[in-house]
Amino acid sequence: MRRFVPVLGRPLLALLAMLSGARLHAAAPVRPPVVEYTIEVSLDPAAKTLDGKERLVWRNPSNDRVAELRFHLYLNAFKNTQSTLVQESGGELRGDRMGEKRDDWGWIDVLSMKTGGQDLRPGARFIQPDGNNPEDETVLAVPLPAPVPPHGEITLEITFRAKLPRVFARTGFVRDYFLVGQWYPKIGVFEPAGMRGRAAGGWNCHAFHADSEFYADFGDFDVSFEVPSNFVVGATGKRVGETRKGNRTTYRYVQKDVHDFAWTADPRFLVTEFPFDPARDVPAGWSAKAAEELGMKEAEIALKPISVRLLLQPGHEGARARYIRSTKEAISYYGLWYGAYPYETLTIVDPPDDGTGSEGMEYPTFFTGGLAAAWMTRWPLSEVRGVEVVTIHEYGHQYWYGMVGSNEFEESWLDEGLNDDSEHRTTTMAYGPRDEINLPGGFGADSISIMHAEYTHVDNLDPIRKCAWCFFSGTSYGVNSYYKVGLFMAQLKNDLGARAFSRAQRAYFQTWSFRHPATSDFFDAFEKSTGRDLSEYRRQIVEGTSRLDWKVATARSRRIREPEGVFDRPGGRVTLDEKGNKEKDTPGTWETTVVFGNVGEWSHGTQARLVFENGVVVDRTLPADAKWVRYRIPSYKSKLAYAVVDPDRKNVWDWSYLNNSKVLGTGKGAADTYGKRAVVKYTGWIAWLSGVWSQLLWALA
Amino acid sequence: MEQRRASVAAGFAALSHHKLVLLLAATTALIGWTAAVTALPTLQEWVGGTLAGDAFIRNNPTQAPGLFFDLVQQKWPAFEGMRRTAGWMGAVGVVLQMFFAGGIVAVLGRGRFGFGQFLEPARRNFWHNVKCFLIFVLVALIAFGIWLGAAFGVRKLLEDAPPDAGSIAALRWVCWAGVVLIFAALSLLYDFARAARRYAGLGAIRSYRFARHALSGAWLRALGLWFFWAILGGAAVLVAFYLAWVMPAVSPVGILVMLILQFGVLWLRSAVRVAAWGSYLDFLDGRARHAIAATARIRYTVAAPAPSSL
Repeated sequence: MRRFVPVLGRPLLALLAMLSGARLHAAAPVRPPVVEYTIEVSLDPAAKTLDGKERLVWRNPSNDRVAELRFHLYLNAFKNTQSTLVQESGGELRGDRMGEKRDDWGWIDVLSMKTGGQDLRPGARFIQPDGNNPEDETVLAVPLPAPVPPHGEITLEITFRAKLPRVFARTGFVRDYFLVGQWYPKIGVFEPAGMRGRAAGGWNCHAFHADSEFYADFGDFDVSFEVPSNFVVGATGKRVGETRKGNRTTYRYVQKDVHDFAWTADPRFLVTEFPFDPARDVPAGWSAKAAEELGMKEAEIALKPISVRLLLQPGHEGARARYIRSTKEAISYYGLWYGAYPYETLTIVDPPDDGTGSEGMEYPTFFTGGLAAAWMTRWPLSEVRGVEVVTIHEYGHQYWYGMVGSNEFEESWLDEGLNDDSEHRTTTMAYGPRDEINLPGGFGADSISIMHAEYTHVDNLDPIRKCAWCFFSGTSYGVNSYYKVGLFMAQLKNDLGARAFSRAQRAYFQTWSFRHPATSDFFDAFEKSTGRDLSEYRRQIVEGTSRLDWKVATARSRRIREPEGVFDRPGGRVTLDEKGNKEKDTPGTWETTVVFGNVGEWSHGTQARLVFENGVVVDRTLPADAKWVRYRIPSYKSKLAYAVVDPDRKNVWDWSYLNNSKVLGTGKGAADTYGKRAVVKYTGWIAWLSGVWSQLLWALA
Repeated sequence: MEQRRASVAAGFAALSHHKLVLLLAATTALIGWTAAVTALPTLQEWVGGTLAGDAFIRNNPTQAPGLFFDLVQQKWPAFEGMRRTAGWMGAVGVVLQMFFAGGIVAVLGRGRFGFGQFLEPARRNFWHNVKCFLIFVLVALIAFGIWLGAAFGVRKLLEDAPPDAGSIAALRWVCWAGVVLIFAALSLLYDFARAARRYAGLGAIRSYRFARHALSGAWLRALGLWFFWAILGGAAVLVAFYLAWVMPAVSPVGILVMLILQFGVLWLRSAVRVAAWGSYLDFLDGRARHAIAATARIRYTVAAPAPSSL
C-alpha cells in the first residue's frame, strides 16, 4: 500500500515525531502466544530418522472462524526431484548437489493428527498454494470437524516420522553431524484482516522454495530430544533437563516467545561456553556513541548478560577466538542500537567442512556460523573476515527475523536486507573501513563496495520487494534481498543523518518486535520517527528499479586566446600575434566548462566539486530534479585540474562510481600526477603477471 | 654428493652467460608487455583520466575498492582481451622456450659462444624439441590421470571420514607429493631427452630412452638437482612477489624500484632456468657416453659438437 504524504503533512509528521519521542522501548510479546509446541523426538543416527510426538496448541488470533489448519512439512522439499525446492534449485544449492546418493533424500510423514480423540490425518491433503506443482508436498491442509472460533483455541496431538536429508539447503546430516532444522509439522500463520495489509483474514503458508526462508507465529516451545549419549547437543532455548537411560540421553529445552526451534547433535563437537558480560564485553566507546546517536542515556540502553555456547568442529580451533569476539561485538551493536537481546542463551554451531550447506543459517537463539575451515583462518587470509561476517550476520537475524518476525517468503528484504545493513554497521565499527577483506599489503574491500559490486553485476530487472521465488533468478533474489537493501539503508542513513536514522531504526525494531511487520510498517515507522516523507524511496528503490547515476559528462578547460590578426584601430591598422605584438600583456586565463548529468531514473541531488590547478576548490550542490547541470567559468586564472560529482561518496546508491570524475589530461594537479603514476604502475603489474605466467608455462613445459 | 655439488657449481657457473639470461628475461618481459598494452587504453582513460588512479595508488580505504570493482566489471571486455592475449602469449613463450632450449643444450658448459653458435643448434633442434614436448604432454596426461584417478578412488573410500581426519590429511599430502614427484621425474626426462641432441642426433623417442638410461641409478641425484633449482627459483620468485605486493610504490622512485624489482624477478627466474640447465648438462656430460651406448641403434651421429667434450 503506497503512502503519500503531502508537503503540508511533513511538519505535522515532524511534530508528531517530537511529541511521541518516537518509540524507543520494546513491545511486549503477545500473551497468550498464538502457538505452544511440546515435542518429544528421538534420533536414530544410523537411519538418520526422527520419530516424534508433538502437542500443539493453536490460538486463533482473528475474528474469523477457521475451518481448516495448514501445516508446513518442510522436510518433504527433499523428498524427490519433483518438489518445488528441487525443481527451482535444479538440485544444486550452496554448492551441494541433491540426489547423488540413496540417502540424500529427506521426508516427513504425519502419522496421526488427533483432536478430541478424532484423527484428522485421513482428511488431510497436500496443497500447492504458490502454483501448479501438484507433486510438492510441503504444505498440508487439514480440515477441522468444527471451526476454531474467533480467538478460540485448538489442541492437536501429532505423531510423525521424518528422515533427514544429507545436508542441503540449511538442514540435514553429514556422517554423525546433524543440523535439525525445519523438522517438525509446523503450523502456518493465520493472518487476521488488516495484518500486513490483508483485506480479509487467511492462511499465509507457502511451499518451501529454493530461494525463500520462513514465516511463523511466535510462541512457546518445550522440546525433548533423545540421542545417543556420546553426542554433544545444542538447541534453541535453555536446557532444563537431561535424563540418561542406557546409552541414550534425553535433553529437554524450553524457550518462550520464539517462532521456531532447531537443534544439533554431533559426537565430535568441541564445546566452548562463555558469558557475555556487558560490563566487560561491550567494546570501548560503543555505548556512549549509541546513546549519543539515539538521544538516550547509557543506562537506558544497557544490555543484559547472556550465556553463549559455541559448538566447534575439530580442526576449526583457529576460529574459536574469532567466533567469540565477533559474537560479543554483534551482541553489543544490535543490543545498543536496537534493543537488548531478551533471551538468556545463545548457541552457535560451527558446521563441518563437508557440511557447508548448513552454514550461515539462523534460528531463534541458535545459529550456524561458517567459513571457519583451517585454511580460511590462516595467513594470508587471516584478515578475510568470513567467520566474523557470518557470525555477526546470523546473530543479527535474532533481531531481523527472530524478534521482528517479517514474512521471509514475501518480503525477504525486511530480514536479510536490513540485517545486511546492520551487519555492515557492526563490522565497520569493529574492524574499520576495510571491514570484510583485508589482505597483506593493505589491500581489501569494505562491505559497501562489495554490496555495490553485487548490485551492479546483475541485470537490474527486479525491485527489492518481491516474493522470494518471483525474482528472475536466484542471483537476482540474493542481490535484491541482501545487497541492494544494504545500499538503500546506507543511502537512507546518509540522507537522514546518523541520529535520525538510528532513532528511526530503533523505533521500527521496538514497535515491531514479536510482531509481523510489512514494508508499509517499515516506512510508517521511519516516517513517523523522522518526520520525513520517504515515499519516493519506497516507490523508486524498494518497489521500483530506479537507478541513480550522476556523472561528469564533459569537463573542458581551454586557454583564452588573446586577439590575433589584423585590426583597424583608431591609431591605424595593426597586426597582433602571439610573438610579442600584443595590445596588452596579460597573464593566461582559462575558460572552464563542466557538465554534470544524472543518467539514472531516480532524481536525487548530490554535490559537485571543481578543483583547479592552483588549488582552488569550488563546491556546488546539484539539484535533485536536474537531469544535467552545466557550470561555465568564462575566465579564470587557473586551469581545471579535475571535476568530481559526489566527492565524499554520500550517494552509495549511485550505479557507477567510475564515471563520477574526470581528470584533465594535461594538468599538473595532484590527481592527474597520481593518475599517470597509477597507469604506469598497474600496466607494469599486468605486464609482470603476464610475464610470470609465461615463465610458469616455461617451467611446466 | 661430490658430483651433485659439482653439478650445482656448474649451474652457478652457467650464470656467467649474462646475455643468455638477459635474452630469456627480455623475451619474457616482451611477452608480458604485449599482453599489457591491450589494457593500456582502458587504464589511461579510466584510471589515469578519472580519480580512480588517484584512489588506487594511494589506496584510499573507502573509495578504492568500489572504483576497482566498477573498473573490472564495466571494462571487463578490455581485461578479458588482455587475459586472452596473455594466454596466447604464454603459448608463444612455450614455443620460444623450445627454440631456446635447442641452443642452450648445445652451447652451455662449453666455454664462450657467439649468437650464431646459439641460434644454429636452436633452429636445428627445434622440431626435435617440439616432438619431445608432445611426448611429455602425452605421458604427463596419462601419469597424472592414473595418479589423480587413484587418489580420487581412495578419497571415495574415505568419504565417511571427517574432514580433519588424519587419513584425509595424509591422503592430501601423499597426493600432492606424488604430483610433484611425478612432475619432477617427467620434467627431468623431458629436459634430458632434449639434451640428448648435445651428444648425438637421436630421434625424440630414442632421446627419451637416452634420458631414461642417463637417469638410471642416479634418479635421487637428479631429483635432488631438480628440487634444488625448483625450490631456489620458487622461493626467490615468491619473496620478490611478496615484496612487490606490499611495497606502496606511490612516488616515481617507488614505482621505478617496483618495476626494477619486477623485472628482476623475471631475470632471476630466467637465471635459475639457465643455471638448472647448466647443472643438468654437467650431470649428463658424465653419463652421456654410457647412456648413448645403452640406447639401441643410433641412426646417425653428428660431427659436432663431438662427445670429446665429455
